[in-house]
Amino acid sequence: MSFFIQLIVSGILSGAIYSLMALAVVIIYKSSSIFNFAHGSMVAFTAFLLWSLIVQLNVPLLISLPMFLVCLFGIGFLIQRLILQPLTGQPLMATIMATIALGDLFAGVVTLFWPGTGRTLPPVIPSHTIRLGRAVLSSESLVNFFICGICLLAFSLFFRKTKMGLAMRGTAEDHTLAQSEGIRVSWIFVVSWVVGILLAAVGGTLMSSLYGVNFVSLHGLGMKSLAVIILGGLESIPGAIIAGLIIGVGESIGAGYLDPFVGGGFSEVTPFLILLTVLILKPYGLFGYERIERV
Amino acid sequence: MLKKPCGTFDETYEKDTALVRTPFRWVMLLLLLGGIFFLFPLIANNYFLDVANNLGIMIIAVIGLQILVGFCGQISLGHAAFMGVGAYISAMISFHFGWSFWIAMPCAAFFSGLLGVVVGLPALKIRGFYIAVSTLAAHYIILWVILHGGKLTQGTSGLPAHEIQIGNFTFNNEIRMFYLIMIFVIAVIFLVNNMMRTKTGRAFLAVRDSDLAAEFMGVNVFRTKVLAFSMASVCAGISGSLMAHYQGIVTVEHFTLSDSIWMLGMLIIGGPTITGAILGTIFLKILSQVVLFMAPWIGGIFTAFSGSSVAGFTQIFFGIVILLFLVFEPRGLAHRWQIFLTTFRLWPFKTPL
Amino acid sequence: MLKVNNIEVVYSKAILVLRGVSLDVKQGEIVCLLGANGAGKSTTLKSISGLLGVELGEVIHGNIEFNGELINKYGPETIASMGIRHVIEGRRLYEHLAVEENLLLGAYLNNNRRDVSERLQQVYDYFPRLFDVKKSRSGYLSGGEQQMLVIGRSLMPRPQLMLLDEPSLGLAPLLVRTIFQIIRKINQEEKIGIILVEQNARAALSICEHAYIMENGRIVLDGPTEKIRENEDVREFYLGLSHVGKEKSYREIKHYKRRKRWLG
Repeated sequence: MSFFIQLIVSGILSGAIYSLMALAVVIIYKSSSIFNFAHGSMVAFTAFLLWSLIVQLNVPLLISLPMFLVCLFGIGFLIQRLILQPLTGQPLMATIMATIALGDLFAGVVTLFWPGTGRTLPPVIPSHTIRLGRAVLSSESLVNFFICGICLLAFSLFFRKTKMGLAMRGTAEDHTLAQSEGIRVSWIFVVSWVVGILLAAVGGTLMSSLYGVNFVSLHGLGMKSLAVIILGGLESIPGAIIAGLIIGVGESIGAGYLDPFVGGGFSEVTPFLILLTVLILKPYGLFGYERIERV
Repeated sequence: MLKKPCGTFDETYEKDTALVRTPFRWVMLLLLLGGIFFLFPLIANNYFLDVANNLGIMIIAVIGLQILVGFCGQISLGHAAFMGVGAYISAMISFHFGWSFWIAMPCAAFFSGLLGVVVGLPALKIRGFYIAVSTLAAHYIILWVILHGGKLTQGTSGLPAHEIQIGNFTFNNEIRMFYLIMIFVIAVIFLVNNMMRTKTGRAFLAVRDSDLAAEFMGVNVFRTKVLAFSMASVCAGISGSLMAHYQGIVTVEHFTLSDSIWMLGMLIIGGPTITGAILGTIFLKILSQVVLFMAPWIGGIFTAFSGSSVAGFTQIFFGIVILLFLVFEPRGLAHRWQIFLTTFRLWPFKTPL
Repeated sequence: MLKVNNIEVVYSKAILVLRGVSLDVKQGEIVCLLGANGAGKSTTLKSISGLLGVELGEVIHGNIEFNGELINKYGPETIASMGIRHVIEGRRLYEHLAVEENLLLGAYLNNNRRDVSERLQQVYDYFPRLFDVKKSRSGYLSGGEQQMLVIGRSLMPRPQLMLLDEPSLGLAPLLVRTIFQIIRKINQEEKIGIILVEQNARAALSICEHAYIMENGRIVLDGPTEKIRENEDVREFYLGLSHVGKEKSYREIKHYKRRKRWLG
């Protein structure tokens, strides 16, 4: 029984990170209706960038964090201006391929500049083990959990209550319409991409504190969050939260109980099995908006 | 397919839907075939023959993907996994049962097609982008099954497959495989082109352009989509099978997500036609060869990062090229080729872009 | 207030759609733009509001002046912020957002919260039906409600000029009359200039002061409404008021074709 509780607790903790990653993609989708397939590579790239700044070049935190933010902003701006703006009005396939190609681009940069494994970020949180009832957690996981929770709450409120949030939702529905109302659509795209990249960076950093900075795990994390988003519904922040937890727990339980049968590695495939089942049963996810089509 | 040369008028239905429209085109086609079959093997050394063989194998798979993506408008991120399925089934049959290629390949193609039907089933309820994600999920699941298949698939260590034989004649060097592969390629091109001018082909195009409208016109959209998935997988299966017996050994590394993406990239660069699929594949193959040639230089520049620098550089190059094509020429190389031909045809008038 | 000076508009660098169109809208005037399908009416509106770029169109000749400023090179956001609102053809909405959210987005550029909520109340006064459905998702509204929402949304920022593209499209005749009455009321109370593009010539001519008739990318006839309404050709081709009961002879048909060709 305590094994089960342990699985659930660790599932919830990792689920929180999945939710945060999912949030990054949801925000980009909510504003620009583009699904960011490059998410996995961006998570990895930002983590490596931060590693370079802090560890490799040894720039003190006070300077490296602002520099990092400026870099992220620049990247988001460039992506929006150079790639997405020329692609307005193109069919779905073009935007999907563009983000996929972008993902490959980032993956290539990471493979080129940071080959090999074994990098870690310096620990910021003192490492303890905490007992919560019958379960054992590490302090890093718990802190991660809270950070994720705060981010998720903040963005939820942002989209519901503020004018900018409303404008982002409107732009996602119909760019042309938003433009004709005076909303600076390209600016909204830039903002949403920058926020998306920022969240990817946060997730990558949090993940790195647990597993070290290496491409495969970060990229895999990013791709799993795609499953989370589909489960939760593409436009829904609460959906992302709940779906992240479901997949986190599902993966954990699946690994815990089924791994001995299949020789390990089941956790890699659980998110996708869950994804396929959901797609067949409820295509728009748990909380996604049904496509309103008037024929 | 529907483009008519200036001044040609078809008087019968057969002429209108003919695959080769004018006598001039027949001549060009025969010249091209002659060039491929007689000229190329004479002038090319083994290295280039090997490249051409791999190119041919890839073309078959990409044409399959083109049916699904370019003609039917669905997006599939799992095509490499289907190639893998074809390769592994074929290799497993030849390794565990010892049967010949000529039995293994149809089995592989059939099984791939069946799997394609399964993956296409979600198309009943979901469309567009969600199909793309479900193919991504299918890709991961298929690869995981292959990796964890234990003795059957020999997981990470690779599964050997024996060479292709007809009677006593073994296809055991590049030239012989070249002819075999080219025959397959020509056959696939012909069959697909032929299919596209039938009712099924037109149904694909209708579903691509507007599946709601197609449904109202009586096209069974679900069946059409599933058919497209299965055809694409059959082509992928054939291609994978050929690859297995050509390389002699199958491993999962050939069928990663990257490969699926490369194939999609070939379609983007080439454009939504069969010609486009071929041009796109050739273009990207040339690109990767160019990067290989430049490898020493790249290693020189990035001396601190050797080893994976070629892989990394290829990826960056690929990403940039795809993005450039998406932004500047979304209709692909096939369109550029059309403009090229049209300029001559319409000279001295201006060619509309 | 608005002067369109002899513009030529091309789509995809190949299709010439407007061949020298000139319009004039004075402050607070309702002007209607009539014509058959494909005449170029929507294109004219899009070139005023800057939405041509989305469809690969551009103004290659002539210019558009709004309060003395040349606006044909500006983007749609800038033009919207200058006080021109284009109600796009076909009742385009933010489908998944609620009715009230749609209206609020109309006033996006206005940073004064109290002003926006006052204005929202005024729009609800014009369209009481919208107040009843204000929390429902706009994609599920009926055609008439959607049309009201779309017009209300463009009213939110107190525009100087509204471009209405076929507001009567697909609506029941009684509803068309209601909406047109509301449009006239808006024009009288708020002194907003309106360019009304319509197929329904009779309804349009009932509220406008000046009418332009377009065919094949050119303005072929214009003038104050009374003169247009009495014009023989307009009566025959647009209002369907040809001579009832008169015998049709072959000469008449030839005459019809010759006049139609002249107009085109």
